[in-house]
Amino acid sequence: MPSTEAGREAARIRRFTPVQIAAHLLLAVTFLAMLWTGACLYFPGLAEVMGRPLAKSVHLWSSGALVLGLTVMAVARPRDLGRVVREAESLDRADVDWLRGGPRRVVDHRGAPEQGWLNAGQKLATAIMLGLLVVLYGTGLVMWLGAGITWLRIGSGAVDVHDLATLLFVLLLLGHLYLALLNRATRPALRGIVTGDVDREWARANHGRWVREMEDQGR
Amino acid sequence: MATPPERPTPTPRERIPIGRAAFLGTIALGAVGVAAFSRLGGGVGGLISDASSAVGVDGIVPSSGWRIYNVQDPMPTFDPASYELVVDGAVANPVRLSWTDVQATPMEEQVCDFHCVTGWSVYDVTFRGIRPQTLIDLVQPKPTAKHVNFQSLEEPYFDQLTLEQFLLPDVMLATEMDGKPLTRPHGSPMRLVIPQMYGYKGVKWVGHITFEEEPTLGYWETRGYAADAWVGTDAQY
Repeated sequence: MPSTEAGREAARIRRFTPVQIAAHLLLAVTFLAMLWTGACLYFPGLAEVMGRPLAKSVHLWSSGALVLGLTVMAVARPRDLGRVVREAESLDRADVDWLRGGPRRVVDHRGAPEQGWLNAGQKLATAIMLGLLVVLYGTGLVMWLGAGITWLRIGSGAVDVHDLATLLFVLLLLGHLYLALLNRATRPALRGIVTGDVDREWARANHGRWVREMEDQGR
Repeated sequence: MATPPERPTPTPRERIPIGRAAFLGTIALGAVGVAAFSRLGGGVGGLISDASSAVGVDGIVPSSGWRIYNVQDPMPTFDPASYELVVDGAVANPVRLSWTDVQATPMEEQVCDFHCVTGWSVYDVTFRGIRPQTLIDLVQPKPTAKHVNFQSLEEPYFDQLTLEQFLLPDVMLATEMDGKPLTRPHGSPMRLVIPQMYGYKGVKWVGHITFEEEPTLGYWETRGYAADAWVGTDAQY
């Protein structure tokens, strides 16, 4: 039975594609695996929980799985991951105004300038986290190859930066988890990265420009 | 034919590449950090040390590029009056050396690199200490002695070398590092130095050396680490 408003006014709106969801899941799983095994390699106390050979091999295989998985996704569906990169790489006037709201804006979007698919905070967090991943891979590669080629280790520089980058990533991750799971104003977004759909009214209030653009396209 | 409804032409949005700057800036900071931490181990390392004690992982990152690991808290305390180095096992002449005896033993000095299995290295460390041959001349191991056990005052830390490894020319029982007596975090008053192997073989706070006939796995070896921790050859670490 045709519904008069069904098409235009569905309660939910599609925010993420299956490839975007899979990429996020892959990053989450491999990062947590690397964080845990990294901790086992780092803290003598935890080294007894998981032995070094196993911890190291899970750490390295997870890093490989993340790169391989993202590469396959980027090649197979370049638009899905490309969109994330394109969105995160630049801000517009409204984004800059959004940031002027300061840290409070991250947890409370009321009265904020209208945002697109990602808000300014999400764009910056994505850019910084991707940058930290590059740093982690670079320093990790030095540590990995440095096991055999000791001059490559350049003292403790690579290890120090690997640790610091991990710490920063974890701090951003804790903020991310707070916003996704606990913070009332932002947690409706969680549904999007799990199922692909978010509540349309919530999206209109928090990502208004994106919803208008979608609705203009009849979605 | 119906014309599509007029839609206002959207104003092209200004794209300020702040995200790209944040991405590249993070990478650049990482690269600068690697260079800075490598060169200025002391200064910058000290800052991290302060930060790490603030978050409760005290002592993991001290200054000068060293990271201190211990398996029992608190670390052993060295008391010159009561310290004794016991050397026994399959030997003709077991000894108990007081700290005064240890200091009277002939010592040598060497400059070597220190490599940790966790990925960091400290270059050009000056150690002063007793050569294995000096100790062997003193206690006269029996022909059946094939291994040497090093028991740390930090129970239950322990490791073992083969007699052959112990006799490598750059092995020593160091009591001084960089011109000063070993500090507590570095294993005062005595640590094993074996530059060709990763640091976990270099037992700190050495209190008891035993010549043995049979091989035994050391502290980390029972936890999956290799018994022969040759630097630069073992991809499985």
